Amino acid sequence: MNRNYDLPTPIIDGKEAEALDVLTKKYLQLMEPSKIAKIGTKASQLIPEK
Amino acid sequence: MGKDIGLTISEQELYSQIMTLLGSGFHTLEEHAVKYLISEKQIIKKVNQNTDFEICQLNEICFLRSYDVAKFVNAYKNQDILAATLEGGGTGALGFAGLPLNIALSTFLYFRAVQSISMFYGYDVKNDSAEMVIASEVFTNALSPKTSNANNEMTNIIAKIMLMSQATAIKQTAKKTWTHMIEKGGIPLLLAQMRALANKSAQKALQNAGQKGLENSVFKETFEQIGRKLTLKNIGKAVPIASAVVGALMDTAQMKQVLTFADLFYQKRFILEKESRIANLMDNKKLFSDDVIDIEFTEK
Repeated sequence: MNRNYDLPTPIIDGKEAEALDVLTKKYLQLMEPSKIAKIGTKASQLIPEK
Repeated sequence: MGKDIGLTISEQELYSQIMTLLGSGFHTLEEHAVKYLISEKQIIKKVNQNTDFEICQLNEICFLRSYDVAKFVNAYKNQDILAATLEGGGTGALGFAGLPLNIALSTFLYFRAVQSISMFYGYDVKNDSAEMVIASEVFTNALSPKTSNANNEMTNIIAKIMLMSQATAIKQTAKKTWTHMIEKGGIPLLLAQMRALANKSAQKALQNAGQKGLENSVFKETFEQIGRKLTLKNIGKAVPIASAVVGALMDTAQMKQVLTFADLFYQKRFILEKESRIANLMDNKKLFSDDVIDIEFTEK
């Protein structure tokens, strides 16, 4: 394709580079067990073993 | 009452009803969901109206800033969330009778939502079968990110991309040429590996179903992986009226999770692949030389 493109300079800017960390953080939050699941786990730990 | 109805249908029965629906009634699902897959034309129009860029084709989106594309995606998400609420409430109101259709349709809507997000970031799921396969893998992972099959190679690559931080990217790209990076492996290799796996799987699906039946075939295969878990989770929706509320709430929450996951993945992929996509568009002209630093850092 013969088209002249305006190359973004820099190709990846600071905000985009930082977004990589922000997105990783959001992903880790998404993978965290939910509050209800956490309460469930804590509650099961409190039950004394027979 | 709900308990009784729930007991009258087994998970297996429900699953086979949905599979039958996917076999013979896929066209119905497509008709219901047709307005929820954004077109290439709509995206190009949005970009040209709202940015300084003028693009002619979808893959030229790689010239944009990732955060600008994310703004379009955020605006689009609300449309999908509303669709999930309406669909969940509507088919949920039918109770047991609407359950197979509800599960099939809501799952298909999530599937389409992932495809739309992929399109926004310039990955053409409609004309590139490998991208369709990648979107379906992202979708499977988005539905249950915590319990996805860790033995699946594609799942592993998706997780690696999700965990890639600025530090990893810099370590791999700063002061290195593109060729150098490929030689050394790392990010480009990981992304190329993902494409290769998707290509292989797409070729298989194309052989079996042809271009026209590709989406149906990919969706069916995906549903086979996740369907049993979904049917079990949804069996509580079998009570009429109450299920309209439950259905709407469940489908809205699920859609939100799918959209978040897909947006995170495609936004990251967009940034990580930006250089190679631009290089491809520019006929691989030498964009990068040894003295070019590919990532700019802002001092705080």
